[in-house]
Amino acid sequence: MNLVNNILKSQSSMEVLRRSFSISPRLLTEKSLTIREAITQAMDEEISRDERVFLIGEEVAQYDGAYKMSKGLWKKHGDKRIVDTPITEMGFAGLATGAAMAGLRPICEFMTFNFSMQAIDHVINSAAKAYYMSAGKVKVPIVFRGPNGAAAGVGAQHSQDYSSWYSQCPGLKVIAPYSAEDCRGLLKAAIRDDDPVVFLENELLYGLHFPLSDEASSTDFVLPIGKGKIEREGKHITLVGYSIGVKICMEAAKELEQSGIQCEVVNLRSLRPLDEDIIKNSVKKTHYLLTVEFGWSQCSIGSEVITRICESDAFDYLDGPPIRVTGADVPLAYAKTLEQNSMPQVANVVKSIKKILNK
Amino acid sequence: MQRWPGKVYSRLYRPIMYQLTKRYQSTAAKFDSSALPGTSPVDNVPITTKLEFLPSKAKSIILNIGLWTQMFSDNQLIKMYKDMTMLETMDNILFQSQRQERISFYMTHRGEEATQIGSAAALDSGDLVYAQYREAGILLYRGYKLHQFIDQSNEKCVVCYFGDGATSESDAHAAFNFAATLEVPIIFICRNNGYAISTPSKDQYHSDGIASRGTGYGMMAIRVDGHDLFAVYNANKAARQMAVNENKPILIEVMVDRFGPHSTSDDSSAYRSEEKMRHHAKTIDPIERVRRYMDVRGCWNNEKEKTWRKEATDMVLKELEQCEHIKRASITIMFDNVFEKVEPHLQKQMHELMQHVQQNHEASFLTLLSKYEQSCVPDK
Repeated sequence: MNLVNNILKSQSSMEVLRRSFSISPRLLTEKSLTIREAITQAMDEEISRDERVFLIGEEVAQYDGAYKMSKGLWKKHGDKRIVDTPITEMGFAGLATGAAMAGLRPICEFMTFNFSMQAIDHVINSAAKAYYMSAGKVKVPIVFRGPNGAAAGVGAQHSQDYSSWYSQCPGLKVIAPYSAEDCRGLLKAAIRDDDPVVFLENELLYGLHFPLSDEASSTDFVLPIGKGKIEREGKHITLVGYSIGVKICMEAAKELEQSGIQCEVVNLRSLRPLDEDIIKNSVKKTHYLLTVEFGWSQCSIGSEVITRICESDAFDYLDGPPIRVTGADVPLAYAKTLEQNSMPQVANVVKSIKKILNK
Repeated sequence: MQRWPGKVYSRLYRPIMYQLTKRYQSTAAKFDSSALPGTSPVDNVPITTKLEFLPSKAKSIILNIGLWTQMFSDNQLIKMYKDMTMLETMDNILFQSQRQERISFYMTHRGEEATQIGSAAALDSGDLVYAQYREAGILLYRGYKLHQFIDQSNEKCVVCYFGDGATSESDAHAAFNFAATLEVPIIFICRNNGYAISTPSKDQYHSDGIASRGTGYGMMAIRVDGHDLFAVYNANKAARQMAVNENKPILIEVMVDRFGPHSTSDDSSAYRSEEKMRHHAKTIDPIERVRRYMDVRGCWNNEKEKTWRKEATDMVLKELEQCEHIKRASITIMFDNVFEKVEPHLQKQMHELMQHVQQNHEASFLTLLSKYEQSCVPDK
């Protein structure tokens, strides 16, 4: 059996080596941080700050996490604060939820959110509803975090965006950060928050460098949950994105700048609560709306954003139909070309914007 | 995910993902594996040339422990008996009151009284209990103080009650495996009453009940006669001692008959012989057994029985009557406790609801509304 495993392993790694990854060149600014470093730092600081905080998950201790998100944390904080578990999502998500009910503040790492489906009963029924069903007696201050959505070449079961799944559920707060500042400020806020929080990271962003201000580097830095951010100001169209979708929006905005189209990019940051005001105000200014996400279109975050605008007073300001750019409505392909083209590309966004604006 | 292949696929993929990770960053942490304790699965396992599979069934089935010997003081015994019969009284009245639409749902306990009271009596009052639905007896025994469920510290164990049906859920595997690997003081009490609502055990498992699984998880297990109050007590007392002193989980399988239907939503005559149940209720009723024992001991008699039964019935009826007249909480409470602070969109919904309520003057609605505490319109 070991032999079989080894063969499988080596074949798998060969497969991986043949594949290449489209990671943007590192921006070597004076003060910059990768998403991975930002998340590790945020956990490190909060574990140091509050003795009730601990990290639990598969291989988070000696191995530093499957994606190295807990690098050095076990060496620094030890067995009590960095806890490895058997490979049973339902088990450790339930255990962590119970620990939160009993007064601790767990950070529960899913190796990827695709595996969180094994534990979704505990995320939704045990964590999100306990405060309500106990009439406010049992708080569940827990953070479920890990990479969400498609990575590269990991097949349909491991390439799913859970944003709309989790954000549909009352009792959960859902965060989908984009930049290093987002990750630091929002993860720290999530750990300090008394409600259960689902923190959706993106594997393709982990290695990217982002500039970081002195303010955002402070150990006291937190961002408000439920507030979005204007990543780029513009007056011709509002682009709404979250997580890696913001990256596509920013690149499309940059490209369109040369054609004289000024895009305003809204980074949602939080999916629940959703910052409706920031979108409304932007739409009132630009009169056009386009959303970008890697997940599927039906019941998507884009659907929610557009519905909220259509139901609000901002609807009267629209000069054209709002549009969603989303992942293709199929289980994600494994074949590299198909996979890449099933997810929103800058060109798709640029084309859609030109179509809406009749350019 | 696909049911079976998906699972295999996901596990196969993990090694690939580690490789992905390595590609992502050049400074993957390295640790000295020689410093780790020997964890090879072949360590300490002798080699044999004999090709032999383990049998799917043990040579003998696990015996059912019945111990009719525990000596209690009269007071202890009467306390336990009263709790058992109070449960029965609640069953009689509350089951009927559900039929009268006075309450929405109820689960009876008939047949399983000894399972509850025997285990509750064996525990310390500070032990943490995770009850399922047929454990009102534990609440009774403990004087129904909710905060005691949440409090936990050292020298205490945790108790988790569940039925035979629940052991087919993957949660059960996760819980058994975690409890065993983390070496925690837990007593798992499986009430094996033979039916998962209507599904008989033969469709749930082919193992020798639930107790046989203990060994597979590296966990001690015992099977006990659930119609025997003292057997349940003794098994739990011993289990608790081991759990607390040795920090280990114990699995107790209580073999028991549920004399009544699963719940008010169930009619058990559809799937099992009611005649057999009636026979069991006559011959091995856990309440009747304790009563006979008390009679022989001389601490109970027909007169005491009659007085107590009437007292218990009056108590339940009085509570039922009183509770029906208590006003229900304000309707706006439905927006509380979703989040730690009421979010703006929920405040908006609350405001809309109150406006709707104030504009509705229909007589039937106002009668309904009068059963609730009044709320004022929140500030927008």
